[in-house]
Amino acid sequence: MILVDDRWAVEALARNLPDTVGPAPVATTHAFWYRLARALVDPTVRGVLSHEADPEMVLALVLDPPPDRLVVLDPRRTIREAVHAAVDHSANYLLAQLLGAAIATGWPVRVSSQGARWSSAMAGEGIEYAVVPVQN
Amino acid sequence: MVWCMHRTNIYLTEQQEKALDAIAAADGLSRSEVIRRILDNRLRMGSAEGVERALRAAGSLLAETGERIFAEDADLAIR
Repeated sequence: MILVDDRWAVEALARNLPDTVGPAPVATTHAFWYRLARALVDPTVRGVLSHEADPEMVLALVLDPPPDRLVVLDPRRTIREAVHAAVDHSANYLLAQLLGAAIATGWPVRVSSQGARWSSAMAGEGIEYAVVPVQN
Repeated sequence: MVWCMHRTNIYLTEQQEKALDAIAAADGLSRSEVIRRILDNRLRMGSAEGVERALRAAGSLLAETGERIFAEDADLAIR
């Protein structure tokens, strides 16, 4: 299983994952899942969605993702590793959950973009990590 | 609810079996329940092509939307 950010999570839900990210299903954290759902209720995004489908149907797919496409990790499984990672790497909640998930599961991480501390934090924890930009 | 279900056997590839076990462990579900949910989701979505097209269309907006929404959020910003 591969851990991904919100941007790759939406591509997984759309069955649009390239080989450079990994085969479906992929997994994401509760924080990235929240970011994705929150963005989808943004009026601008809903306007785009409405050209193709009912925005509520799209949101329903995100809120109850088909497990053959996307798995949302239960934060209770990774909270211990996440809080230690937050302290060790001065990580915010988003990064701490991602680090915690990768440490707890041992799964590789693929993200579409990254923050300033992400690479060094992942390397410091020995996590297989790559930034794979989405080609629009 | 077992009494109103029908027993069936299916063949899975090794990769599918590993994925099924990983999903079941991640969600705290039995293998059977994972398979039932996948089927339920597929049935509920009906013609899923429109939804998938909508997701692809929205995907390109998500990066900038997320950046804007979470720019001042210390917990959820990419920083």
